[in-house]
Amino acid sequence: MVKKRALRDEPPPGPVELVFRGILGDTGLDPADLREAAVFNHELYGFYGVSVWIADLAFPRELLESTKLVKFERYAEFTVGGLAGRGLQLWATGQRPHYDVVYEGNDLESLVARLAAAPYWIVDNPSVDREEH
Amino acid sequence: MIYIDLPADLNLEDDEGRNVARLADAVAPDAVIAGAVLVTGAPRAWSWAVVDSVDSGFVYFRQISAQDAARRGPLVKPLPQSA
Repeated sequence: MVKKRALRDEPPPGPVELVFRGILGDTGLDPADLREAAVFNHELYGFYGVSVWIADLAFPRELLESTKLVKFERYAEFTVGGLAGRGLQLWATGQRPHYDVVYEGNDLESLVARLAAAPYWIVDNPSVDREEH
Repeated sequence: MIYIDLPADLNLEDDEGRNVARLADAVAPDAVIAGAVLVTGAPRAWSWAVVDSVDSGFVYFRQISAQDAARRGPLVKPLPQSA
């Protein structure tokens, strides 16, 4: 049985707001990783979604780099407008500043293809925590 | 090479700010119980973590520092014993 996902009641982020997602592997924003993330979210919450973080005044880039993204050597940087231009939506899920990127109709392949094709940059995280194992 | 006990996407947080993974993806699912200290994530983005709860096939955990992990128990697994 899937769990109910809390949606925050707050104004949507503006088109120039920055959207970050930590990169899991060596090959940049890998469609296979995006698909796995969306499938996992579907198993857990019943909709295809890919977790991201959106920077704002309360959660500026530097804070996100040293907290939510601290374990990632690199992250992908989108804009809200860039995602919207590919027909993607941002749902305010969980606790601020977590969001899910979703695609209308809950279509997995369209979500992955559109997110992978959205304009983004790869950013090295200067605050990465390379803890010894 | 990092030894990952519990593969997970550390971008995902639940409504309580915890990370989540599939129990079935764990290297040793029987060892994944509340309070267990594990290495979670992916080879290029991993963290020490403590398991908060296991429910309906999902593992809910919180990231912790290596220092905190060491306080909770030995970080080096014992070598397998020969028969």
